[in-house]
Amino acid sequence: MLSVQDLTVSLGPATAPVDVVAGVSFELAKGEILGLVGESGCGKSMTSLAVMGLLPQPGPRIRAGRVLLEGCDVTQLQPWQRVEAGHGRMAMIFQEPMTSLNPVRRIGDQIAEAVRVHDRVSGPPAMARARELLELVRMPDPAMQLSAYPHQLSGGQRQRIMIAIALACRPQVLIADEPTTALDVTIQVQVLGLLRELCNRLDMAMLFITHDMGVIAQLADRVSVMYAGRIVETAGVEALFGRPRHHYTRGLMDCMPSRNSGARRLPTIAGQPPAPGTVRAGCVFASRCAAVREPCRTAAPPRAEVSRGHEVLCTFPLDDGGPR
Amino acid sequence: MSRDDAMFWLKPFIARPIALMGLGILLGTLLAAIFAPWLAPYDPFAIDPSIRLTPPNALHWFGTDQFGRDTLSRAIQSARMALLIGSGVVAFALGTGVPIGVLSALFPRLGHVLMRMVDVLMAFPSLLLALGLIVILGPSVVNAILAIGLGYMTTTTRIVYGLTLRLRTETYVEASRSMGAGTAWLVGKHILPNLVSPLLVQASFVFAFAQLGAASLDFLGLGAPPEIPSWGNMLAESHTFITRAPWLLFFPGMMIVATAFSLNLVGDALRDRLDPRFRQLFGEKG
Amino acid sequence: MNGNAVLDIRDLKVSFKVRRSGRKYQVRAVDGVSLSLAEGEVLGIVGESGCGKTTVGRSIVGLVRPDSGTIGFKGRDMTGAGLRDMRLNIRMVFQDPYASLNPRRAIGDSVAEAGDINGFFTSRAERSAAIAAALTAVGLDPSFAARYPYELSGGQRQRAGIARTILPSPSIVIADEPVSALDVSVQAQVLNLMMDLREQLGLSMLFISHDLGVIGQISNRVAVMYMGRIVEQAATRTVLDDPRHPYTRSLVAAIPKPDPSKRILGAIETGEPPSLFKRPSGCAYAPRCPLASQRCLVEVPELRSVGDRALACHNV
Ligand SMILES: Nc1ncnc2c1ncn2[C@@H]1O[C@H](COP(=O)(O)OP(=O)(O)OP(=O)(O)O)[C@@H](O)[C@H]1O
Ligand SMILES: Nc1ncnc2c1ncn2[C@@H]1O[C@H](COP(=O)(O)OP(=O)(O)O)[C@@H](O)[C@H]1O
Ligand code: SF4
Ligand code: SF4
Ligand SMILES: [Mg+2]
Ligand SMILES: [Mg+2]
Repeated sequence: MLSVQDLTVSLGPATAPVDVVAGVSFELAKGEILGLVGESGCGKSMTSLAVMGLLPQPGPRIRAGRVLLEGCDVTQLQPWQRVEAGHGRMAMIFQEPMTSLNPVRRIGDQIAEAVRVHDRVSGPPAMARARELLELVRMPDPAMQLSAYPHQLSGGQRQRIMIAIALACRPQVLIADEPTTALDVTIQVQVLGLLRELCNRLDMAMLFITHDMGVIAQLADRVSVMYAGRIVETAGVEALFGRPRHHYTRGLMDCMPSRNSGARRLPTIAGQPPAPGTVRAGCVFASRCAAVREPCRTAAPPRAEVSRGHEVLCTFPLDDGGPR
Repeated sequence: MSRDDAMFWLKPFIARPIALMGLGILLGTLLAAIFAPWLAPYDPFAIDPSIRLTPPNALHWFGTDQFGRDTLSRAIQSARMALLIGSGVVAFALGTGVPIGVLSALFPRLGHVLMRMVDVLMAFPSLLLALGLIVILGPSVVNAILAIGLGYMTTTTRIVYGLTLRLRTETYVEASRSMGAGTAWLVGKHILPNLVSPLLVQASFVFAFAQLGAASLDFLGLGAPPEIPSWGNMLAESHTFITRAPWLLFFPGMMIVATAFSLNLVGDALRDRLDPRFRQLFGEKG
Repeated sequence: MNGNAVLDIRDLKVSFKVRRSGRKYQVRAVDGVSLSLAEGEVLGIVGESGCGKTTVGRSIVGLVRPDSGTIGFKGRDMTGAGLRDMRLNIRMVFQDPYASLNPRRAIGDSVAEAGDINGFFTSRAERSAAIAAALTAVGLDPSFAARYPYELSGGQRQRAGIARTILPSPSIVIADEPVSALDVSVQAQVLNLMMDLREQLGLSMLFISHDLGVIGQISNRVAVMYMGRIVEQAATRTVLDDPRHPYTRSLVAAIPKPDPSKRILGAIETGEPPSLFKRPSGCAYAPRCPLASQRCLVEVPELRSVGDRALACHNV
């Protein structure tokens, strides 16, 4: 369905590019949920914006790589060409629902507008579809809520509206960039449940971006762990949590408080991620890796398939994920 | 000021040549004002009817006026009045506007009253306000400063009020209050330092517009007394000669525009200098 | 409450006047909260956003004036008081490390601020030494004193924010979501730091968070808040392992567990969040509560002690 190959997003002058996303590849099948997890600034949002063709201008640009949606490279198309060619079937939802909604327009009009753009219908049919979409996102009292303004809704409801707008184009791929980070756990669990149900029901693929390992474990089918612009480990969710093979993945899991309740001190990953473009040779994680050895600093680690569907970018991967 | 300090302030100008040009014009005006008697090729007051209304030539670069006075010498002498009016107006507008704005934002009840009064003043166009005041107080340099300054006091107050309202609720101000800071501490350590760069920009605009305001008053005969040379007076005295001797209007007019414009350029550069976020622009770490 | 309590809050009520669509509302942000903090204890406060956690903290450090109730510090009533020595004794760490440091002040000046305000330092040398010591204590190099906030990462800023609260060393630290804005790996570092400091300086701490995982890690006791009231309070393990109040139960159930074999999505019902403008007349949780009965709709449940915990519910 969606295949991203060697995607590289760069900042700065063409003569001295700084890669904030460096050779990211992943595949997304119909109905599948791929979780993309990593710390702030590691390039998650840049990856999703590049896939969507929404990189801010001027600034970051795609320096290399391809984004194939059903075999067609969408990086070569202008946004309007994507819609014309029937490749507009990717939609995105963002972290802060309030800033993505127009505060002075009614919810119904905002959804109907998205319907108008994609279905080329307006008036009552568009409004009927808007209502249908609200039912789809399980909004209580959909007919009433059509005439509400964004500020009259709660954070969770606003995020449902954003999902409804995203679904208006009947996407084959939904990209969700931290859609629940601003929500309380009790509301987060509802929104996550809704997204999962929609993927199953509509056979929609989803790239779900988050920095929360707990959310990933609950939602994703497969997981890619990102660090300093690279995907360092990809695996099925059970394999990743049961037997992480990359030292960074392992570190991330160890420092979660909920895995350590009772321990007096939390294990940590010392130091900070490198600034983009500062690691010239070797492994990007070398400065923080507890298992670093001499070759790590000079030779870029290979991408190895350690077991079926489990890829690691590390010269000396963990053997067994260690005791937990 | 050490070499490093000098570099610190020069960087934004080096990064932007147009700002450097503005700085040059300003420094030129300042030097002209200080060294006017030595710089001026002729006595700016000396009358010589034999050379009335000579166009610019090798002897009189800016030409002469209807009394045969050297326009260049008068333009140089006028820089003094320009700087006096400009700094007077800035001092008055900021000296009143900043305390009123800050206090109004910190003490809502007082602010309610003061800001209504400012609103009333703001309802009048600033030139009309200045004219009205001059009519009451009588024309003089000090009164011109007050009259023009009053108009900019209101805008300064508004700006300071709005910014302080926002700063007041910043988390770092709350943190400071939670540690027992009083009003004087909050104002001195948190509010004023964060007002400096917007005020610098405001000051440069006020200075620039004060030039135009002073010129208008002078032109109407309500500003500097006619015997003191000022760019506005020069325009006023010679506007009837616009077709016969356009240079008489062109040069003082250019001076007004150039100082106003260069002040804005310098103000922008200084604001960028004081904003830590702009440091990257000047190739510093961070 | 406790005889050895360093901080004793009784029946704290705070309300705000707000305008919505032209109408004036009185929002009861904190509606009768009683808490006590023992010497050296970490008390966690947990609840959904808007339930009044921050407002409790802000009342204690004197940033908002309570409508009623008392706040006692070591046996002295200090409600609304601006007493200097108490300001040095009770200090607050703020949630947003980007907003809590003045961008135009060097880190050292921010760290020394409480001392400067209260005339704590007698000489410049003493001041710089104290700044260096505070920065070292939070794991920052003393050279950070001369830097500006924009040069620091989120984690480093939060360390600087913590350094500010321990110079001079207080008795109580109110930490308002100090790690919510940080990444997991940095979050663990800062949590460790806070636990170390608590031990070294003998601090008592009120630790506000919406993350039960973090609360479970750092606090001895937990108070769960809902719409301005405490609904359940007990030792941390008691609350996390055996939540009793229906709201606590849904809160604990909704934590996304980092274990793909224990999936909860779609399996639990958590209800719509409440609006402070439309407070139900009986139990505030009744519209979302699976156990709600007739009595819940009319009578507000009082906090009473049940075994080793305090609970505010008619039906458990
Ligand atoms: N418009 C921009 N101009 C310059 N640099 C940028 C821009 N946007 C992002 N960056 C840089 O690109 C890198 C990746 O940013 P990105 O927003 O993708 O991170 P992220 O993983 O989504 O982080 P977060 O969890 O904080 O959203 C970061 O180093 C960031 O500073
Ligand atoms: N200064 C204020 N003015 C009006 N309402 C406020 C103010 N501060 C807080 N509130 C309201 O009080 C409630 C509790 O707020 P807060 O204590 O910040 O919640 P929490 O920290 O649990 O997220 C919220 O509904 C909030 O909107
Ligand atoms: S390549 Fe070396 S430094 Fe990088 S993660 Fe593997 S062991 Fe660590
Ligand atoms: S008092 Fe009633 S409504 Fe409230 S939590 Fe208990 S059972 Fe539920
Ligand atoms: Mg992001
Ligand atoms: Mg809060």
